[in-house]
Amino acid sequence: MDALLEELVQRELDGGLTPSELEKLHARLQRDPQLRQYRVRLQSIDAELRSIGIEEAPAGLEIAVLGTICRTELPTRQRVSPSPRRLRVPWREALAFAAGLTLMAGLLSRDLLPGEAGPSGERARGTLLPSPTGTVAPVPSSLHEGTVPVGIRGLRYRVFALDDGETAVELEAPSASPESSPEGIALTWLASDWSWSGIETTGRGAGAITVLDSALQWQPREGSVLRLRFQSSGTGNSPLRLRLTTTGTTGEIPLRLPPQR
Amino acid sequence: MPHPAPNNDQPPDASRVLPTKVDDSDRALVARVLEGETACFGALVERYQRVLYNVALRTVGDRETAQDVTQVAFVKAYQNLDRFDRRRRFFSWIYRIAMNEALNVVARRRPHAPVPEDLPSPAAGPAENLDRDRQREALLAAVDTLSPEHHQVIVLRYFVELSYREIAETLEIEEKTVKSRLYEARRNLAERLTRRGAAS
Repeated sequence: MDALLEELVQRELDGGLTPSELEKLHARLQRDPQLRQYRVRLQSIDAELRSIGIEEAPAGLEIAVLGTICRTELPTRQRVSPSPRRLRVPWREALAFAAGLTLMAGLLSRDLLPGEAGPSGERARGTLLPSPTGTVAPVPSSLHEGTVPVGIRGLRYRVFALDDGETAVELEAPSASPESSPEGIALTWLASDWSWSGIETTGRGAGAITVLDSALQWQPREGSVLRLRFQSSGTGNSPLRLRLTTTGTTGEIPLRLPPQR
Repeated sequence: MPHPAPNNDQPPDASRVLPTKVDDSDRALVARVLEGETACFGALVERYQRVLYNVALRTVGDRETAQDVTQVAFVKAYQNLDRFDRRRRFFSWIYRIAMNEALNVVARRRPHAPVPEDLPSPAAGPAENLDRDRQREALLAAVDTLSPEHHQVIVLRYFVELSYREIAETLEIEEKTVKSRLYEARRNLAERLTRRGAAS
């Protein structure tokens, strides 16, 4: 095929022909069946490609990216440099995890635990994390520990008195991730009379926890559990305040605990 | 009747994937991120997630992997932001990161995937009553078999809706090279689909 004619056919697809070029092409098309066939073929491909269109980016992609980079320092300040693939966040699980922690914190802060309520005004801090929809379920007032029905398999909290008279809280969140993708929690602030006394993973194949400044990076396996433990050295009735950041969202969470016995 | 085509120097419409005239804004955002305002990276993610996701999707072929590729590309860009030459276009830079990531995934998965033999040719003509979804699948499969250079221009032209000039800037090649690659890519698609149509 004549290279010049083929270029005319190609440029016609992109609307780039002058009137005189268009006239020349059409004149040639009338007497060249092979060129006509080629043109139809290209037009068919062009039309089909155009019809495929553009898709929206998945909801949650931006949050997942920001959640990952929140735990990744810029190269000039970087101390630990895990590979990007290792840092990939399973965003569905991470969001569910964040939602679960939020709801759990909300349950704990709404005087659902036994004992007297804390000072007025203390519970007004709330949380900035998004509330899970349709997951709030009535919790018996006597419940000290149990499974929180938020759609995350096995999510639990536990409040208990230690032998030395201190109060401790455990938050447990199992990983729903089938592959070893890290999940991150940035724990950036605690009330003065509470201390962060422990963090561990349990369960089959539980991965190690990396602590980078105040951020925790957890490498879960399916079925493993992340357990955070906080301990009060105060009167036992002051709220535990946490600021948790997961997948780019930060929330300040007061946990109101029962008085010491 | 020829398919109505946009002028190759004008954006097709206001909802186009790649924002226009953002280079200076991009550079300012990069500078702020490097100064410690990490949240500014969110604006870059918001600006380019759609285009990079579509580039990835049309390269790796499935949404979940495309999402992973896009996410990894952004994280790599963030981690290497201090190496970004601010005289270049940010999009060109991050596009290359995303494309490399996508091509690595494809190379690991199926280095030489053939065009499926049992799919109809879109060039077969309307009288053959072909199923449109299968036509599309056949065409996308043929696009997958193009060389990386040809594949890139098809993706940027049709799935990101860039003009010749924008493609040239993104790939950092001359505009006439873009045209010749695009023409050759379309010709290759036509030949492959016709050859397969004749064989089936």
